[in-house]
Amino acid sequence: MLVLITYDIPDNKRRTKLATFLEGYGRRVQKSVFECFLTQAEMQELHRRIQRRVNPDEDNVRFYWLTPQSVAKSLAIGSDPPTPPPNVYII
Amino acid sequence: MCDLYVVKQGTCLRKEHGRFILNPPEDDGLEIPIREIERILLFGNIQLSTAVIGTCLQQQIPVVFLSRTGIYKGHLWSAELRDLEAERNQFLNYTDRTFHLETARAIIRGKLVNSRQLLLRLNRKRHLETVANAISGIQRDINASETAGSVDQLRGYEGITAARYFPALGQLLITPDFTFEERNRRPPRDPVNSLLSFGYTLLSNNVMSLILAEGLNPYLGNLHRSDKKLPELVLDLMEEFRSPVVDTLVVTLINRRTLHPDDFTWPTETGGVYIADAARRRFIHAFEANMNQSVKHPDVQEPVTYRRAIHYQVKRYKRALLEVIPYQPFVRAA
Repeated sequence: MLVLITYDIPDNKRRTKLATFLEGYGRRVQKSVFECFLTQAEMQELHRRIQRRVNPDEDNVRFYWLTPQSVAKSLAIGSDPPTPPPNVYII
Repeated sequence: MCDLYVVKQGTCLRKEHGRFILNPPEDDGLEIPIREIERILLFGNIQLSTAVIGTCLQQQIPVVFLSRTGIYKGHLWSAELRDLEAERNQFLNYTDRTFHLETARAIIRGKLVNSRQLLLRLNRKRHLETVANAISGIQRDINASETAGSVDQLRGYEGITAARYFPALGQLLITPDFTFEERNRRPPRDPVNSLLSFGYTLLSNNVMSLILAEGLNPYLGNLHRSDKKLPELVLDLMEEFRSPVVDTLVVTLINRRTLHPDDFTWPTETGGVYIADAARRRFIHAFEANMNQSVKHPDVQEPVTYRRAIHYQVKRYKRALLEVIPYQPFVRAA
């Protein structure tokens, strides 16, 4: 399932740290928006791990759970619409 | 989860935070989240940083080292996942004559039945008499193998079937551009043999990493026994899948004209013929698509991918070791 993660973090250091952390989970599609293809258990695990990295008083992180049907209907302008990771990488 | 194949010579692979960064020479780099990668296959001259090696060991991502043409050189794998109970049983059963013979018999049955099945499928519309003869010959070998009294005898039937099977397969290639009469290897001397060899290497890598993931020792087999240290169990458990996964693919790619005679190199000094790099990529793509195809497996209701089916077979072998349930081969539906 596609998990859309968006955040608002005023503190520069915390924001950069969260962004590099999230790059191991999915693709950065906008400055503070990540698309990650995860199972529900993985999303919950990620949610827990992010909780430890942010300050709930100042920061705001949102996780959206999108079904394959919704992903298929997604549109985009100026970039490719969300696509699941390939079954194989051949370089 | 997916496989990462690195074919482009001189590519550097390094790690940055949770990602692998690939830098092929002259090409744009690529970044892949590490958690998407299940296995890495490196062909020829590829550089890995120590950080990548450390991460792969820690995250149990097997790294397989192959030559540029796909000859297996070795693999990187953390030994922590060993299942000592299963491995102890592997050693105990290695000298058990009944286990040895009956497991080898099951493997041969799987291999022969699946070879016959492919010829049946391909000959359904063609009705070639030579192929029909090979099919009934293989059926006789299958029946005879049921009563064989030794592993050597079983290997004999395997050889007889191969002598019927490969020429029949050659008859079923419909383009005049490719001919195939007999199986040869080390080196493969014509395009079809080079495709079969390369396909079997890709298959064996998959079987090897599933065997390692189940904590089994890949060097103790039944049908295959050798004084040299060979991955006998890998050779054993891939037998049933040679025809449904690799042979099917090779025939399809040739008959659909996805591959052409100029996709292959000139014979080397030793007479070896290999797929050229661009076609190699197409072949890997098609192989992966085949591995992800659905197939029925009796251990589960829902259809599964071939890769899962291989995993179920490895689990069956493990059950044969631990719970003394005789090993049952994978048999493709007609």
